Amino acid sequence: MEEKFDAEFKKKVKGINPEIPNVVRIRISDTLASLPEKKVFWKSGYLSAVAALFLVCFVGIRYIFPMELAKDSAPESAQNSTMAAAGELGDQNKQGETNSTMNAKTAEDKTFENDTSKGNTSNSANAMLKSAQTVQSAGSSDASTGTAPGITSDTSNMEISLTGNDGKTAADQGIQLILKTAIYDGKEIRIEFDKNSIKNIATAAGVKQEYSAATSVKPDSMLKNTQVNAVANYDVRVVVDNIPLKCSINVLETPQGENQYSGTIIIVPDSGLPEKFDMILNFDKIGEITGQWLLTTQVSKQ
Amino acid sequence: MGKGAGAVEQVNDVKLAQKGNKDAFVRLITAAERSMYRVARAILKSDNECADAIQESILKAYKSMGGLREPQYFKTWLTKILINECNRILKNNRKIIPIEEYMDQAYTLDAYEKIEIQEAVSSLDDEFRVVVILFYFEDMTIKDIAQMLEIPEGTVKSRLSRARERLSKQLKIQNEGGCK
Repeated sequence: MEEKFDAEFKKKVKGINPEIPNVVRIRISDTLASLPEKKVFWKSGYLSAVAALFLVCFVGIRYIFPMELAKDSAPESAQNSTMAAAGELGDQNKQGETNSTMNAKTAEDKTFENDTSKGNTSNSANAMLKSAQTVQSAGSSDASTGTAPGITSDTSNMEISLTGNDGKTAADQGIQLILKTAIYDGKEIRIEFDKNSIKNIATAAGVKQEYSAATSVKPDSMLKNTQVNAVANYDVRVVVDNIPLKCSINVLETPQGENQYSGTIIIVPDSGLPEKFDMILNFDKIGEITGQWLLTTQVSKQ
Repeated sequence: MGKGAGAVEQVNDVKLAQKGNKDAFVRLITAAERSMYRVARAILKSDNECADAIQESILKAYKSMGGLREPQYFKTWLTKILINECNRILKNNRKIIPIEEYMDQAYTLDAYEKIEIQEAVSSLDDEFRVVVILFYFEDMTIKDIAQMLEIPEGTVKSRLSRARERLSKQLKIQNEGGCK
């Protein structure tokens, strides 16, 4: 019965459309006209996706790609050209080696920055010498010339092959780091490494091997995201399982020969680490030399 | 709520409005303004109050369009905002309702019967009138009305039942046998 009433009543009221009074109609019109343009914000989901993508790209470019580049062993000509632009690697042609000596970013920068090396794939030694001579005459380091700061042009004395970017060995700006061991005892990570460099580094910049002095203490600001007790002029960041590690770092060096050092890095993490983890040591600065050296290793608790 | 193509267009407009399209929002409000006025008038006693309630509702709806998860429920959502706004105004102005406003005709009807219906609806108590307007005029379900008015469905049903009795008496529509 109710249904019948409802149906009947709905039918009757269907045609009833109230005439909207002017006072209401005008108010509606005014309100609609005065609505502000809406700022559209991306939803958190989109933001998260973009942030994740950015993170992946950053990690890929920063950590993975340089190592992959070294592993893949780019064509000799291109590498020689890059090396010549950098003017820091000695007589690669003589050695006939094709090992990469620079990370991808540096290589790219140098290739584009140095006109001398552009398109020059066969006379890399000449280009290197030209570049080195430029530095000598200038008497200072200048990245725009394609020369590592503080590196002399005395290529005849280069005895060390500063090559490799395979994770265990990192070379840039004429300095080579070789990772020997990494041990985690549950409290600290102890890393043994060797450092080799081209002769007379830093003399061109007016600084005499400042970085080579063992255990010289630098201000806390030397290290990013870390608390520093004493550092031998290293600017290093530690990444464990893709997460920056908060830790204290000490770097000690002992001279082993001319331009050769053995070093120890002691990393004391602020919190415990897993039994097994991947670690990246990202050196941004060694002494007064700015560059990029990446060492990677898997560490197990022992 | 409209059905078919109109409903699809409305859903599209809601989605556009949620993305910040002002024109789409204006279209939605324009389509719903008559309904808004009817609901507001069922609760409030004067056109000025209705205008205030509708204005506030439009602004609130525009501001919080992003919070509407189901575009097809736009009208229900808008009506709820409006009812809340009407209740707020009613609460503030309860003590100052001019009698002439109360007796004012809400609708301009084009036939005697419609006037009769309107008078019958207007004569209902507030709580019945709102339910009647939403159920018969706005074609909303008991469930939606209950949610909108924040009362149990059983209460909506009982109010509708009592409203039916009064309307049928006034309009001489027999519960047993339809219209005379």
